[in-house]
Amino acid sequence: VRSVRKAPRALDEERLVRLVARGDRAAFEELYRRTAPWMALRLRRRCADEQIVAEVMQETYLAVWRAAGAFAGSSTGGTAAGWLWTIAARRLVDAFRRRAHHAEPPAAAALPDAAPAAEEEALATTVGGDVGDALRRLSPELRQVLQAMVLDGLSVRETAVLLGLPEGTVKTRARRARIAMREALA
Amino acid sequence: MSVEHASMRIIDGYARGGTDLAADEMWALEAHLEACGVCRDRLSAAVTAEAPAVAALVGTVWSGLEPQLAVIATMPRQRRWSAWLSRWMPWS
Repeated sequence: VRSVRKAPRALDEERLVRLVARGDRAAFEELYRRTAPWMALRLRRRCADEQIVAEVMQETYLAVWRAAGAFAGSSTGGTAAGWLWTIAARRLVDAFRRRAHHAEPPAAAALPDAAPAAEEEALATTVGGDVGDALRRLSPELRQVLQAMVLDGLSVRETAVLLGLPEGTVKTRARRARIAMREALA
Repeated sequence: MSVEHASMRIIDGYARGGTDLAADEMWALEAHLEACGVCRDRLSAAVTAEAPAVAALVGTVWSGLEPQLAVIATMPRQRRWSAWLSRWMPWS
């Protein structure tokens, strides 16, 4: 295995993804080493089935290996980790969908979010003070929907799959969550 | 750019599964980790130190991943490269 040209530690993840896009194995290994523990924990928070988590991680990193150029080519200013999570969250939804076709739906742990309003955009970046208090007071089922949609960036449909809820319920809860947050922050 | 980092209590709590963290702490941490490589590194260290099951999972996934890397994306690239190579260096 050849080594990354520059000291890997000096490279940020965005740079690593660009090297991966050129087929750099060592850069891929370094990217995995740096992001996989975080990825594993975040997925485990959302899916209690270890098997699915492993499967989703594998698919996610294979997709990264295959399609790093898609990130490398985009200049929208997102972080590499954010891009990784976008892939993982969708793969997780796909895995839940596949399981739903077969038999018992997997146990969801807690899922992220949906359509950003102003207060939700604030939520996606920082949480503290009043916002933190409001989040804490939100009932778990409303918070779960908000998390899937805002923090994880999923659509209503994806959130429904992830949480094992009808889409109508997701919509209603998202609306109630937004109202509650707005009132708490007013 | 100076950034405020997550506390070690929250990082450790998350590495252990997050059950002892408040909902807003969890949310703030997950949002922060997406943007902060320093805290991701600290989280990796916490996983190594106190979450053997997660560390094992990371290792298992890598073992499954590694053999596929050579087969998947690199292949067309290598084929082109070796064709070029054998044209110019028939002995290789």
